[in-house]
Amino acid sequence: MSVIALDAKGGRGVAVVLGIVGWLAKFVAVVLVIATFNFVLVHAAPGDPAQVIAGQSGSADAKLLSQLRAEYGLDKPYPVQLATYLKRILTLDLGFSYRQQRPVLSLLAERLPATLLLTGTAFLIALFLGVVLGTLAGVRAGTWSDTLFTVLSLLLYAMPVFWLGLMLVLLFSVRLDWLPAFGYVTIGVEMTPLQHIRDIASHLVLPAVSLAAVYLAIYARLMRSSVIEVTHQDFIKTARAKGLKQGRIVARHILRNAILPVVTVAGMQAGALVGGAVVIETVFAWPGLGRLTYDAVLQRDYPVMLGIFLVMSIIVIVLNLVTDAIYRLIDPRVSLRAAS
Amino acid sequence: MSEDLLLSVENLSVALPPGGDRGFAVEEVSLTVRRNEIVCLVGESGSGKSITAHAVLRLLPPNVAVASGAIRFGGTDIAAADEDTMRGLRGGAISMIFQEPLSALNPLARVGDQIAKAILMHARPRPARAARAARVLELIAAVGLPDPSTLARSYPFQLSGGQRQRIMIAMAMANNPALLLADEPTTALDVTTQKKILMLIRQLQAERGMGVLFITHDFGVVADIADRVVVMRNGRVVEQGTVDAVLRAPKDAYTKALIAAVPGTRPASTASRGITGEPLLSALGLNKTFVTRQGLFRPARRVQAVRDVALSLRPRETVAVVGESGSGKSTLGRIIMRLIEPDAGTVDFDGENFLGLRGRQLRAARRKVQIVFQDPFAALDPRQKVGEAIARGPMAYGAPASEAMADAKRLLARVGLKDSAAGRYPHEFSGGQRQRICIARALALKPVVLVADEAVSALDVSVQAHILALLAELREEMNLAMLFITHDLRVAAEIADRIVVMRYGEIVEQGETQSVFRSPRHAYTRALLDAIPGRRLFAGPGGAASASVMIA
Amino acid sequence: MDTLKAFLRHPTGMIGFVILAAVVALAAAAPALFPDDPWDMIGAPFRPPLSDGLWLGSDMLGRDVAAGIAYGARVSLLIGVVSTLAAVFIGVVIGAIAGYFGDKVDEVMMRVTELFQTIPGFILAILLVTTLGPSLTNVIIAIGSVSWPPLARLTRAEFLRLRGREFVQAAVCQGQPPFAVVLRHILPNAISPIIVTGSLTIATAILIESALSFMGLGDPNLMSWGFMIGASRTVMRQAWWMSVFPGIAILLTLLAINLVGEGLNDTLNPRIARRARTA
Repeated sequence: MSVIALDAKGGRGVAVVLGIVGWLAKFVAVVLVIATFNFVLVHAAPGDPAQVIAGQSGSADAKLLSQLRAEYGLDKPYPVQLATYLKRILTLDLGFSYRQQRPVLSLLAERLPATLLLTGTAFLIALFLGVVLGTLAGVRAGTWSDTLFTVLSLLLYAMPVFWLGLMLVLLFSVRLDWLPAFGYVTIGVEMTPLQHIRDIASHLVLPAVSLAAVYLAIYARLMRSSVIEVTHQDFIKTARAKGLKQGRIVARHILRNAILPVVTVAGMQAGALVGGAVVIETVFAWPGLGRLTYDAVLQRDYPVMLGIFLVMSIIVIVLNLVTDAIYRLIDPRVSLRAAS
Repeated sequence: MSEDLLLSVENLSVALPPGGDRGFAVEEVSLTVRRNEIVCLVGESGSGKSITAHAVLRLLPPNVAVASGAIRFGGTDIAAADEDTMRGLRGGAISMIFQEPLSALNPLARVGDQIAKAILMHARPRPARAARAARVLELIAAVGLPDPSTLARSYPFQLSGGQRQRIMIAMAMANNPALLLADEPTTALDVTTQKKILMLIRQLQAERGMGVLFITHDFGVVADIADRVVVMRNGRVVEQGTVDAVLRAPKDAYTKALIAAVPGTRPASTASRGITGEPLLSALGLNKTFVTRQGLFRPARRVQAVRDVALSLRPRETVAVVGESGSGKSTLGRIIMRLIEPDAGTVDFDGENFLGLRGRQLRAARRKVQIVFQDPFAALDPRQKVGEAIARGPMAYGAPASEAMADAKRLLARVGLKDSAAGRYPHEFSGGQRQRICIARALALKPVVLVADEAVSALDVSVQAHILALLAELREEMNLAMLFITHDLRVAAEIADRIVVMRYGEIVEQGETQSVFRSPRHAYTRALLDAIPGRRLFAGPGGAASASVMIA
Repeated sequence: MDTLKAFLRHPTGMIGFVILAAVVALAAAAPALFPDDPWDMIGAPFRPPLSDGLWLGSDMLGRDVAAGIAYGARVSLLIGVVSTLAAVFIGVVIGAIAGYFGDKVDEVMMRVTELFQTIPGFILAILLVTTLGPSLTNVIIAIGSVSWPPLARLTRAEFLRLRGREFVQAAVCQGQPPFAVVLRHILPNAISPIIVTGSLTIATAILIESALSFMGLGDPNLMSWGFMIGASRTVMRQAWWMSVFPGIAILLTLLAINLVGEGLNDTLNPRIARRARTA
């Protein structure tokens, strides 16, 4: 009879390193592909690529256009152009926004923290509350509270994110005046750091909740069915046969096993969540990348739009890394199987 | 046998939710288990044996409940006890182990922690961490596992099936139970592993004087370990008594049929079937390695399923390929069927280089070798009517639809089903009936070789006997050569002319059935023969029965 | 058919079906109910609901909100269904090829699908519409291009699962050519989850369309619910009905589609769903 001798800690360490290397490879691949796609898009747009890059619809300065052509090598064959473009991306040169008269990179860097705050908060709210509510519903399956839960989650799931945002503003800002409607901070008021944080938090509530709502519904329903599924499995019967109390069974055994598919789906939905931030930021005038997208679209500012596309994709990859890490933390099978 | 009565089930009835095909899972069942004895509860699927045991610890599924009767443990009726009392008993005075060790253990927790949890639940005063850890290691060693400290830190998926089941037993022994309920604990294990686990249970039972209620469907296992037997059918007890009484002189017709249905009790027609001539199918040097990629940076995992295998099959001959899980027998079958392509080797079939055929030529040759799979539920398309499933074969070779359907109906009748079956869907049939349909489907193409890949393993014992008899008839009628893949030597004994024993992808022994049973040459073959449950009571070919068994 | 009868008896599925039928009826009857162009001014601006013969009030340019909703239904349903058909087509073909052939082909297809799932779909849709120009066709192309990955994943999983199933292998052994095996055995068994996911994709498509119109990227000639909500943003305090009613319209339509999808799921896969519901 063979015994698998495994130094569990060492094995997991190796697996983590390999995981990071794999993630980096994926990261670079995605960046390159998106950059290539951006390049294709610029040339696929109707009109002169130089004008597209200049971002001004209509007559642009002829001198500017010829300058751009030289700079971007628009007369050269495509593969050369693509190579130049990719090199620029890798040196973090994302171009220049002629509308805003600033390098795209600095524009994005300025707006990035606000978006990170919003998407990060929304992601955590959706995941955390979704798991908790879903577990409660799954444990009480078939009761009236479960039915109520199903009805509410169906409603939330069917709501367009921007409309929910507007309705929440209508209710909490216009009618009740509990929370501010727009923006990031209250301007023109002197505040201590603590008050400053509270101020941002009060501005964050409505946008984050609006963004999180749909995903909360998804994760909660998934958690519920996962909990029900796990409850039927044999090892729960074993736990009961050992004499465990129901509450402990839920907390110890059911939760850990049931949460795995939810984490996986959260990772897959990250792209949709980040996309939703665009709309939410527009509704709430939140000064992040999403709002910038709206302005850029109105102004047909291509370099900015493409830059946002790249950065938002990177945010999604980071979120995927987070969910992957959470998954590996909970499920030893992934890392240990890999290392053995 | 002590006089102490441990468990007394009195006229127990367990009701099923309304709307099912019967009202009660268990009806008016009475049985007892005393200290220091093993009682085997035997039955086929649907007999209610498992529900009876689950009812003792009140581990029944949500809509199923005890309707009437009493379950007395140590004098008190626990069927009427409250949940706290039950929890006190579970894992304490009464322990239970289940059939599937992989799904019965929490996949995300270390096995040592799972055993420790069992201790924590009942040991009062609460043992300190160090004492607990020591006890866990003690238990792991007591169930025969080496290197307890490493094992305690392992996760279930890192252990083999036998190891996991021993861990389950260790968990069950943690609090020195007086009564052990074992729900088919060895059914999912290889036969050699089964033997070891059975021995372990007997050893632990003898050491601790436990009463054991052991559920099984295999009368061979009953013969090996039981002191007393209870036979159940459709929720009722049909017979009970000491193992000698029931096995030597069964009173009930069903019991007699069950005992008779144990494979290997009907001696294979040892009279020569006149198998001569050049081999019809001749395989040489077959090799197959499965490679699973594990991402960009890890080396791929390589498993050699079939290693340098040579096999021959003469016309009208039945060769049984016997092995445990991982032996490569199924892979070999699929290579012969060209469902898997080998890495190397040749197969000469009916004069042609079978492995070299492609496309239309391959399809033309396919009709000569057909297969019956193990799982009758997965082997039929749920959305296709049964008659059509059978007729499609000949139609693929140009037979007109009406003719193919008429042939299909005839075949259905031949395998024992009504004509009208042709218009029905698979879910309307039982497992045994579906397997008959699969046989009909295979024979519709009039093959010369039939591969049976564990074709009877998923069936109840009595159904198994019928299907084996049917196959024996059909092979004579249709001059079929058969490649019979099985893990059960008893089945092989009943139907095969020659036996091929495989282990870890290699053939370790082959020969005529009689000689393999009488004088096995390889140690592994001997181990397999030794592990046959109930060998002492049921004679295989050439094995002397130590007690005569009455067969109706 | 049994499944049809089972669906008719499914309570939530039927509720969804009824609501959806009402929306479709509204869309079909829009020209009859509101003969004027929804873009036309027909009254004073900012009239509240149930005044001046306007059921749902008028917007800042005096347009009939109710007419907007009726015509908006046509746009949403049209875009929803057509872009979903495109997404289903792309997704199923990619998924089927990946699942049936496996190995290298599968690897390549899956990397592509993964890539499309990593990219924030909505932003890609914005980019596409901006590049190609805001028209009905381009909106459909954009939505179709971002909605196919889940369908591809699902189809691939189903094909992989079914390819290894014994009844498919039995068909191969019976001498049936590969194409027949796929059409006769794999597809009919894979189609149920695809139908369910497809119906839910219609909901997602309508959502994306309304978000695009909200941001002003929809076809400027088509009155759409998203556009109405977008137009109402600045005057929300004065005319709540301009944003509430179109939103409710979207909500009801999406709810209905989700309920129908659930009903389909339960009737097409009864065993699993029953367990999940009754625990």
